[in-house]
Amino acid sequence: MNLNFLKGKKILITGATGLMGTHTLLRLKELPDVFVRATVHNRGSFVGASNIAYVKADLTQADDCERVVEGMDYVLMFAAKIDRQNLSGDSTLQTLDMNAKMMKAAHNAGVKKYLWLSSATGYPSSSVPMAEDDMFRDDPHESNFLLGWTVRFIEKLCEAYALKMRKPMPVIVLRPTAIYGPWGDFDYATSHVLSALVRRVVARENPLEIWGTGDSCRDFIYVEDVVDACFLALERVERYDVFNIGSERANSVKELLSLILEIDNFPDAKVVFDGSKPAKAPAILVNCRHAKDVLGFEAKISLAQGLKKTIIWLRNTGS
Amino acid sequence: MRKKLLICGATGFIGRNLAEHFAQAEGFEVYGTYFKSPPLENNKIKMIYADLTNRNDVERAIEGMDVLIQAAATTSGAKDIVSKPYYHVTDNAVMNSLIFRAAFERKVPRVIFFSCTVMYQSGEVAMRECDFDANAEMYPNYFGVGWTKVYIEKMCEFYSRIGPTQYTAIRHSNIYGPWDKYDLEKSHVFGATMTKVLTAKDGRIVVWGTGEEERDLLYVSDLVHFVELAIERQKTKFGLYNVGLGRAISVAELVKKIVVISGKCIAIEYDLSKPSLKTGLFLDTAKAADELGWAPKVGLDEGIRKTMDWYNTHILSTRRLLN
Repeated sequence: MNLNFLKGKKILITGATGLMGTHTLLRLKELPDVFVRATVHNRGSFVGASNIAYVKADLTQADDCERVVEGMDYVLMFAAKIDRQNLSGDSTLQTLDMNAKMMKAAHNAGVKKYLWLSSATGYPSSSVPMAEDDMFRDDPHESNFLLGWTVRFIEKLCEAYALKMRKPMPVIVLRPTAIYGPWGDFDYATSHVLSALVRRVVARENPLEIWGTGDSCRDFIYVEDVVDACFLALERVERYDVFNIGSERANSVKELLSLILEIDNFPDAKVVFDGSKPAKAPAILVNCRHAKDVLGFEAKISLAQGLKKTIIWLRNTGS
Repeated sequence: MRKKLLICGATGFIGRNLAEHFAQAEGFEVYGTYFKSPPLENNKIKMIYADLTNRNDVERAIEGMDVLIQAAATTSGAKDIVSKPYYHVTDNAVMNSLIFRAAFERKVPRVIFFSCTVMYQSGEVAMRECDFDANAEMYPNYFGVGWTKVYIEKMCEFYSRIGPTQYTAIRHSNIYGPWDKYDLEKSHVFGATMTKVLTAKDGRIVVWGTGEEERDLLYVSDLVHFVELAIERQKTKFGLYNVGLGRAISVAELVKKIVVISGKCIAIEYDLSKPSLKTGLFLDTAKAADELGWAPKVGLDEGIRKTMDWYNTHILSTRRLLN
């Protein structure tokens, strides 16, 4: 898409070394008229370009938030703390803490647009795709109860800053489904199901033992599509709004795995499903009509195309 | 063996009433935290200095406790509350998360959390716990605090599922009684009215608006009694309960009652230039009755009388001494 509307703007990207941050910077490095400040915490990959300045920051510290947001026009809030192994809620609550501090600092600094990359994990599990207004139909699935409620609460905070302050700050919330792609998180401790499966197949793990029955359904979206959605939202949305961002395709873990095995040419894999292991939400699916109507957004990359790119990248980086 | 019971926020209105009650009761060794206010002076209550937004202080305070009653709220945002009401909304969520997580890790058997009732819509019928509608627009002034309380209730539910701790979340109505705030700057409608009536000099008091707004008012000892029953009788791992008188009284009626009970001759004026909302809320407390056998014992007239006696002894006499 055309990014001319960003000319002369100053953009803060938090979580810049993660999957979304890296792909956003790869897009922005082609635009010398856009000044980009990118926050790094303690890990990640870097995109070298004269218009990108990396700064080290711990966004759970209010001082760091104030320092990095100063003078910025737009904020893309991608930073989050995810830990799928420690279930005590620690990482989730750190995510809440950083969002609260960043939003406060951005409001104080007079940021013109603030985009929070929320998540479809706030939705209840449902085999019928959920529209934006369906979030509170039920609790999130037990396996992401606290994360789901935290996502909902941070969205309420976004709503408050955008609609209920005397001096409001335009905030846009995107609820992407499961994002994947090169530079993704392939660490077993923190990655989601797609990245973990890709890594295990590429490593030729055999037999492949899969937790659960393999029937749970997800909507997987390629990272480039979500980056498009972010830029479309920044360009076209002026006041508080919430958008589902997904591929609108439902794939079971079984289907996903057979596609990966096919693309990576591993027909001899022996797959064992262990139904006794704790179940994930049966289905988290979204309806993206609102994003299509308002943003003109539609996912372009199919799961097969996206997986191909991801597998090639992983093979080349030698992980 | 006596149970170790910790009250976080023991110097506040509800915290102090709980601490003093349990200090007299059988079977408890009572601890309380204090931070900005001076510690309670009661040799049956062991006071612990703790900043509950600090992880180390939280862990030190809850070490070895059997029952943790969370009645503390952060106050850091007081000066921003009008102009920037959302700057500090998450402070309480973060503080409670520290406390609950520490309770999870140290396997504290029992946690009680005080929620509120501002998440309910105003209505003509008694609200049940399940009547909270997350899709309905929350009353604007309560948006931040309402959602924060709902979120913290969900945290209680979450921690009750992943660990051994049993949780109670209490949606209580407007509580009044001894040790509430009575200075006109910080007090709520009950405390403010009590102070206005008992200190009226020129034989009149002014009520803001039409006084049609209705409240469910509960005397503090009934809330304390609820906590006692919940500790003793709750069977479920997580319990969410409405606790209120179960009926609504308008502010205008309340003012009249307080004036009559005071025995003073005072004219009531309504300042109609001030905003007033015709809102009303009262609670259906059938769940607390069915599961715990709880019912309020102190009616409004009796509660007003008790509070007035306390006010005359503790506040007016102090004031006279100072003068």
